[in-house]
Amino acid sequence: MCSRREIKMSRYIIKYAVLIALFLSVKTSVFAQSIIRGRVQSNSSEVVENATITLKGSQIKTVTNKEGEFTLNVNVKKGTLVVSKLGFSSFELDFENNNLPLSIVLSTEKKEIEEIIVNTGYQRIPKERATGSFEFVDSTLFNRQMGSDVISRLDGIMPGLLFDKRRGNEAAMIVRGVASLGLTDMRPLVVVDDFPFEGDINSINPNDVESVTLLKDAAASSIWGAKAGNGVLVITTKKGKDNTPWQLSAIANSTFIQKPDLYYSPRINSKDYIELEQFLFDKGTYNSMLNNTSNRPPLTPVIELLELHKQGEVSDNELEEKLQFYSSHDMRNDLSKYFYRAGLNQQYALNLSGGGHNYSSLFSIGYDQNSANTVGRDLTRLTLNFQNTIRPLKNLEIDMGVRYSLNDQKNNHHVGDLQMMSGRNLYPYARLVDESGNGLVVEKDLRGSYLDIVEGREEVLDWRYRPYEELSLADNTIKKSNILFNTRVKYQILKGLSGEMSYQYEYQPTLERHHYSDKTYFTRNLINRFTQINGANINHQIPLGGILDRYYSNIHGHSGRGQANYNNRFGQHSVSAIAGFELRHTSNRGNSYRTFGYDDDLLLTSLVNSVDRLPVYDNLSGGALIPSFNNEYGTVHRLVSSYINAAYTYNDRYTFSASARRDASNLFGVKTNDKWTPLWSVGGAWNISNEPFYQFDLISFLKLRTTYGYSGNVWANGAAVTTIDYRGVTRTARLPYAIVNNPPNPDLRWENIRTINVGVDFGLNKNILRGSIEFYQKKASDIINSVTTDPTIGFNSVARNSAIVNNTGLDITLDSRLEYAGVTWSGHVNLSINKNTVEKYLVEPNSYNSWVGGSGSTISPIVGQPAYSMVSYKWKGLDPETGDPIGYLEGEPSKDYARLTQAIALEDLVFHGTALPVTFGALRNTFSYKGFSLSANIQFKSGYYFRRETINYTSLLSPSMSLSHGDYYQRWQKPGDEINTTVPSMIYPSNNRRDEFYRESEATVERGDHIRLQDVNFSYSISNNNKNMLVKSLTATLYARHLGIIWKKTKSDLDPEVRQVPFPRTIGIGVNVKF
Amino acid sequence: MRSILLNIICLLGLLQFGCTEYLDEKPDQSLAIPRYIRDLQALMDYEDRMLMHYPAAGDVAADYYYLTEADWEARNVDVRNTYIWDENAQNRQDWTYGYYRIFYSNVVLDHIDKVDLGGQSETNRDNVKGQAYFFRGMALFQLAELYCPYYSIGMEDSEYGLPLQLESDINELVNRSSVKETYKQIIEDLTLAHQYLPEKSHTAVRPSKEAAYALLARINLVIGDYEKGLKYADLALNVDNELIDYGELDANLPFPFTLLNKEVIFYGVSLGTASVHNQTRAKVDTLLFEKFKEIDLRKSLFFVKEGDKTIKYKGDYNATGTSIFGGLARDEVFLIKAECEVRLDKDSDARHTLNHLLKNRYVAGSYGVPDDLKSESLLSYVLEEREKQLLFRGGIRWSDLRRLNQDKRFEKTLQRKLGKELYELPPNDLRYTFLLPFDVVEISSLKQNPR
Repeated sequence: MCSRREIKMSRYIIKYAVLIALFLSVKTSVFAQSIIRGRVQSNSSEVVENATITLKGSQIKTVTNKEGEFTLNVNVKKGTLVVSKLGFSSFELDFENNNLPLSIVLSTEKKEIEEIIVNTGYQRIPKERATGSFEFVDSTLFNRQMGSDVISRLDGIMPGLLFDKRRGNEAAMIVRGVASLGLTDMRPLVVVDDFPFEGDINSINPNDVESVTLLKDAAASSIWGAKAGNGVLVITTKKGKDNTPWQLSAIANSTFIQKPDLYYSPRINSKDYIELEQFLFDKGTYNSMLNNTSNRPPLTPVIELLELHKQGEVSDNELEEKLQFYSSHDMRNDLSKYFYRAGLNQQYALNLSGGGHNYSSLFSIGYDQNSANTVGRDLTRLTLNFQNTIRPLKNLEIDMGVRYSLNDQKNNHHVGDLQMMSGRNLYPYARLVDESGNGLVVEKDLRGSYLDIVEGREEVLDWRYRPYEELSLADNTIKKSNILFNTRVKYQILKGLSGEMSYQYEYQPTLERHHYSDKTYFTRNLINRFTQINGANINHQIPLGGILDRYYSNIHGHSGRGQANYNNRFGQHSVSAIAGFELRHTSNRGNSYRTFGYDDDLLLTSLVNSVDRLPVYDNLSGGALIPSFNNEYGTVHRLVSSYINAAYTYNDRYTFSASARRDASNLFGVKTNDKWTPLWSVGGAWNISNEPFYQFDLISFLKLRTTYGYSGNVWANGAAVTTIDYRGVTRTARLPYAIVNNPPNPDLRWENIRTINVGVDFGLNKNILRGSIEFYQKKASDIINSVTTDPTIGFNSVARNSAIVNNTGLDITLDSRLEYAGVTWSGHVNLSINKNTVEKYLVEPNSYNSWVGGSGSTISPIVGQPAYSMVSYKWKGLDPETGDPIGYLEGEPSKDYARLTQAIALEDLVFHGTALPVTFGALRNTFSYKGFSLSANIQFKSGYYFRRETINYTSLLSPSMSLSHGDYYQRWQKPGDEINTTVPSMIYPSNNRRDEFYRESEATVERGDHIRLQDVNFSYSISNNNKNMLVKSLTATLYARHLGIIWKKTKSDLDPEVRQVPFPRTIGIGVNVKF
Repeated sequence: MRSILLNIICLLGLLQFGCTEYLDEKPDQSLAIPRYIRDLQALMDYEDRMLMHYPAAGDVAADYYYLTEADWEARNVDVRNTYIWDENAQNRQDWTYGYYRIFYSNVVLDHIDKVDLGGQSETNRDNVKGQAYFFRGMALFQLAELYCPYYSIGMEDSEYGLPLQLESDINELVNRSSVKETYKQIIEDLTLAHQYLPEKSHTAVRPSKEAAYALLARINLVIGDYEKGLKYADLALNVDNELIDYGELDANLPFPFTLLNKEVIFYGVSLGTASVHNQTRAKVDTLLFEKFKEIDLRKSLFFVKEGDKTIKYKGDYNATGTSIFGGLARDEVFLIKAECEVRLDKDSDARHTLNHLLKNRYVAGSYGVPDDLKSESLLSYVLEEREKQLLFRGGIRWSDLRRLNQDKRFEKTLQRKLGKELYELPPNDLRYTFLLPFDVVEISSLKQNPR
């Protein structure tokens, strides 16, 4: 059944014309000079005056008169006439002069915008008649960006859609502000071919995408009910077209990815780091570790050296020399050289489509091979797609399609594991590779001097850690398949009335495999730890050989839908309605296993005792369990819905629409389902320019529309009753145990989002400029948020329907197109403004400190403030005597950091504003000349704040000396420094609350406003109309992305959208050939 | 047309009626609404909540160990402050974990009479109910020892008791009770607990009658009700009085004692002390160490002399070297019994009790309580043995300091030296009661302890 996926619409100019040649008389001309007569009318049967008729390939031309008639003297018997008129598609016609008058019908070019048909996932609506708020991206615009995933191609091309990159994620989308407070998913619902897509969206090949529609307001999205509160992104894939000759197209492209910039975030250099180590060493910080003869904790080479020096085993000169040697090294050089690389993404796709009068088909195949800019990280993806539509009977249409993708991912990088013990960063002067390219030993879990002693003992395997060698030993893969099968049967019952049943099955099995061979440090270390000597016997409690971890997960989704469609026109009245019901079932089952003694060649495995506490080698610790993590889990989500949606249009001018939907799910108890009122919407649209009285020529197209309605959000983890969650067995007694997952919360309700949308669409002066302006108010009430509570109740925080957030905003789109001397310029601007305010917070604010801090990436529901609010401690400055940070307690300057960070008063806080851009958008300019096209997308974001990272003395001066931020160099060191810096002095012992106060004070907040050159696309196309040529068209493209910041408001060197490592620049080249 | 649409809507309405069962499927397979006794037992078996995070602050502040200046400096500011008895020292974690345990107990108590047997018996129901009362009573007692001023029977009541959170409804928040009410609730809970619990549990990670008796013995000793203290100690020892013969242990092992050894009545760990009580940092108080005689087996089983002459403790019943045992062990019950006996003027009983314990602590045949000791001197002797046996046992020493300071004969001024700084904690100082977490005071407007 599945739907007729392809949207027959599109901004492509639909060139069609009807030619009716009327035989009035038969007369053969003998003269070379002949006259051609004819009449030109529009497709609405109106006379077309002043249309230009040209004989192709000559200067001979004429124009039509008031009756639309023309005569043209030509000196040939055969030829081609070109008929053109502004506002109409130009039309070519072959003639053979036999004195018959020609009748030419020109189609209005206005169709170009009006024929956009948006897809809601339930029905296709001509945008012209829609009341709701839709954003539409066709395949040309979609394919302007290069890349192997669907989502990142949408960045900066749709108003109202913000890509929130604050967490280093390039694909986090927020539609029209904040309608959830973090506990529910803020992403829009993603729909692929009419059903919500549960699997990994990266399994969809972007080359299979025909169009993307974003549903923004209630009328557009309420049809998706309790999942649509954050907007809906409908992805429609390509289909074959009826009565189209078979066409093959091929795509190949390569994208080069820059090596990551490891030096972006400032760090303390090795020399100064070593000085700090010396300082701590002299303080005796390492004494207990140096004296520790039981656990043998690792120490850095410098600490070992200092200890040897202290014991007199190293001379002053030698110490100096060696410290010099360590100081000269920066680990990032080795990382950059050996652990990172320039990446390369290669993409190939073939697409074959066509159709006859009762069938159409499409077959596509895609292959991607991505090498990330981290060594060892590779991905290959194969996608196969086969879509068919047949009409075996006159009124019966059957769609059937299957889509398969296989992702094969290798995660053999080793960067995240580069740690000395868990959680402790490697010392910055570590040398990973020597001059001749061999991996060097760095300190890991046990002290080097201890390993010197045990080295060579018969029972002990090599216990050294050489990160560079680990890189080639790593064997971690993820294999993920995704199968999407869909079918739809549609039957035309009566004129205008049809019924359809559709069903979709989705299956996504994933196998993640981590194989640690016997050569890896992971395996050697674990075996060594559990080795025991019994007399002369060596007892390896973990068998020799590798260790294999496997994680399986399976997603199964079944969706079924029955729907009746009614579309009819009675004179001036046209009605379009759908009604249907839907059942969805999604299950996710998974488990994980660890196997010991594994041999990849012989497929050997053995068992271990993972139940009892076993002695640890050399009593390096008390008895321990062999780490295993066998686990089983499963979730089932079910949803039952019914819906109805109807629109009535009178005289092509007035449209009214209404929709309603009711959902019930197994996520909440039956009671909540019963309480649930239907989500509904109403809307109206008025095509003013279709009114007879409308005579305003400058604005040739004008439409007003407005909608009002509700959509919702389900929070999957909430329940009104106490729920518990079984978590496996306990460590000590091996008893099954459960945790209270959810404290009893009888009042929990679904989130409810009301949207009002008012829009105007316009086209100026024959579409030189067209656009739309939309104003919306989106009020989300009963937002579920985690509320900080008094821990005395037994929970630190509890999920509650706690807030009302009001979003108001504007989405503006403008498109313009001008031609001069063969050069076409098209400009596109989208501008979005979103102001969100927490209107009401249903829970008394209890601790102001919980509002402060973070990077603004957590939500603070403060009444009168934006949802993502940047709140700081008020900053007085640094104490000129000591360099201590000073804040305010009840208006008085204070250095009582315990109270400042835990019991602050409202007046001592600063509310900067939002951490999410208020205004954002993009400007895209495209210049084309002949086959050349140059296009640049400039993005801007403004009106927001971010918090920069800074020094944390407590971490820096702890024995593990982590987080060595470069603000160290800006720190207060002597009186007078407070004028130039806000970084507090370094004190010892440090005070974590003092650090926290500075870190979360207003001194670390920066403006986020910036403009960046997002990407540039340069392409050249040639097309060939000669049917005998193999190649019909060819496009070559050069594409560059993440080109850099043009302007920013902050004076710091930081990119407001980057936290650790900037998004790497990429440059791609590609060709697209049609046969 | 309209009638067709209406028909469709009716059809959809009917369909939804039939969906109730379809929607009964639970969304997460491991998720459950407590339905059976085993579900509630699983909550009580949540080790990390119910057993691991026993109070730490009192042991950080206690006198049986010290830190080097460098190690002290490397701790976080709360631990540093607690160590030097700073008047602003905060201990939030002990409060939150205590109330987590109370919440879990309340959830169980709210459901226990309603759940189905699920193949188990009413005895199992009683057992789980008893566990919940036990955990709640114990958590309240542990919190009272940190956050409420010292209380003993006959003392004047004080307004600084605990909020007695006795229901799982998260919307019900209660105010501080009086200290007397707090102890009344503690004793009530534990009395109910021993009525429901089995004599002995198959594993010491679960409460038992024996554990409830042992805990009641401890509590009654703390509040000065020696008759009851003795009664409960006897009840506990009637269930089981087996001791480890220290002579049979290997002092060369890094950890001579094993996890869940036979003296452990109820297992618990003061994980929150880990940053301080890690073997590599906490040095044994030298004066205390010198009290151990050569013939005392504990000298070599409990201690190791490090290269730098400092003393490391390795006698922990938790046997990890990173955090200390915080549960109930039988040696303590013997010491409670002996002390109560002395205080109730039963000197010969006390001598007998003590001899029974100590013959398992000293080199075989080398020891007996000196005959010339009686009443006061015998009491001092019992208290010294108590200090020597129960060092590095979570929750005990701090409690002892608080109660012994009430008695001029045994009061002690604690001292800490860090570099040139000397810190003191005089007897009965207000700082013997820790501050409530600042945010708790802020959120719920509970009255803060005085300073």
